[in-house]
Amino acid sequence: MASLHITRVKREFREVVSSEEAQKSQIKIEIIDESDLTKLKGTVIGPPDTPFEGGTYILDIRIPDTYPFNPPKVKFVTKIWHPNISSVTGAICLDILKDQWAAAMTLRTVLLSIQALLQAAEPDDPQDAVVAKQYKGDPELYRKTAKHWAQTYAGAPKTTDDAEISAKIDTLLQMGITETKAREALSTHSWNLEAAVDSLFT
Amino acid sequence: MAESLKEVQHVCPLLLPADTKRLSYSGFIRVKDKSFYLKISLPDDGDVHYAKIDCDWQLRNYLSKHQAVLKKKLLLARDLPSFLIDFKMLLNQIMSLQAQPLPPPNYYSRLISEIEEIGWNRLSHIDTKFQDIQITLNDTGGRVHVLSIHLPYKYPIEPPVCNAVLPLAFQPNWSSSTTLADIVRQFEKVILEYQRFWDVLDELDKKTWVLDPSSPSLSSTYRRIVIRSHLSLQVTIDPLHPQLMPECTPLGPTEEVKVIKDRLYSRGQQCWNTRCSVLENLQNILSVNFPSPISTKEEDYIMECGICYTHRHYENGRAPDFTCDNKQCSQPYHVSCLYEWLTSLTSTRKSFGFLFGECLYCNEAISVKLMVPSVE
Repeated sequence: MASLHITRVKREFREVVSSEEAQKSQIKIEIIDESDLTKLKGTVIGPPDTPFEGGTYILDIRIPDTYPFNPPKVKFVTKIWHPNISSVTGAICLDILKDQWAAAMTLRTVLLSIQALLQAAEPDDPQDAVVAKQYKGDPELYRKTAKHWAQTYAGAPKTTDDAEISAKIDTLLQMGITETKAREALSTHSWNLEAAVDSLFT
Repeated sequence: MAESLKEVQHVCPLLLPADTKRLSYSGFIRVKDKSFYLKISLPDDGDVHYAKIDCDWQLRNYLSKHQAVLKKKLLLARDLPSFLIDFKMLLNQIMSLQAQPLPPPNYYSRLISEIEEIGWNRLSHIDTKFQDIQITLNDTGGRVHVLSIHLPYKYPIEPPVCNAVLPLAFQPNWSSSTTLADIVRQFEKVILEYQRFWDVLDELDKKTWVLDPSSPSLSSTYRRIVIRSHLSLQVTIDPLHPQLMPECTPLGPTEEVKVIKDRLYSRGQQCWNTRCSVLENLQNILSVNFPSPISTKEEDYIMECGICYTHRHYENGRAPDFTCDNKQCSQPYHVSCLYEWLTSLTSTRKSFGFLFGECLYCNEAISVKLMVPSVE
């Protein structure tokens, strides 16, 4: 007997592939292993007029046995600087992936909702408190940081070349800190080099 | 580990660890007063699911046909002691099965002469033990029937067990002087009586769109037929009185269902004319023409459930049997899918045997009957 979650995933896979959004290459879904349809790879493109514009974001999608009565488990694989997404684990805070899930939703609507989340953050319901604080307190710095992360991790086109940022990261690199750690520390401390160094060495 | 050794000893006192890590055991397992040599080797991580089993030729003989079951038991086992308990039970079953004596020679001679009486050409199957036979018959309507007869070892002291695909169970009159040919004659009589019943259903199958069952067998007594999209009528025909008014249950949006029900109650019994066919009567009473497969396309009536996104339910094979009452929405669902969804929500209210929730698409209030786990 075919189980419901697998039959539905097959159908939804076809739906995403033939969707308008996929044709405009805004979203994508891939099967990792033909024999295990509960693990999928999703892709969303950073929407225009956001710091994420043009970035390619890879998502890890897990389908529970109880799908569609419970939501799929989705998290970011690509690192991202966003109030509702953990900059460390990639966990997403999105109502439809939690209590607002409805069995009528599909992988296509989930991917589109995540894309919409990139467009309109919800700083009052944050996943990453540090990012949310920055988003509210210093929106300009938030945009700069988010853009830098998008260019570094998501392959967004380099429109600005921030020499100041690179110089600060280089300084930390010379202290023997890995690049990822350096970027995380600097982003967390509003690109204040001293504060970042303090946090790394205490 | 010490705990597990104690338990192993408790189940099989003669099975002892053969190495210090207790990854291998050898000794004897005792079932039904017989001891068999047995050796069990666990992989390095001690995972019982991948244990290797060696045994003597007698035990091997017993297990040879049951390897698949044994593998399954091994995969399902929690630990070694619980597997050994399972293993002993399985062995016990296998041994008692094989211990059954063969029937006396006159069983076979009687069987052969009785089959001869029926005619070998009508015998479509006989098993290697000469216990299960199948007789194939054609009825006047061109339908093919298969009568399966299981003969106990003590036949003809014990009666044979008959099985056939019929709307009601086939229970032939039997005494020790009844031959198999008599049973076949009784069966022929029974299928003759059902001819009108099957004719009624055949007419529905041919002239209307049947949503359920997806591939009806000769035993099914109901058809769910399309009235128009989102509205259908489940008709259950009485096998013994097929020409009488059947039990009708309309399925669809509440308002439309009410209209159909009103027509059924107000005109049903008075206007039913036993000289007309069931289909004609239904069309008459409901003042509708059921869409015909000749002039309409099946795609027009194939609805997808808003939860599983399929037409046929993944378990029971039924077409969607619930429709949202909001006319702008009219989203079809399988009752069972909707039920499962509502029970997974904390906001669902439960009262008077109904679950109350909202349509997933338009948030209109909806309710489904609480389901009693079916025995099917």
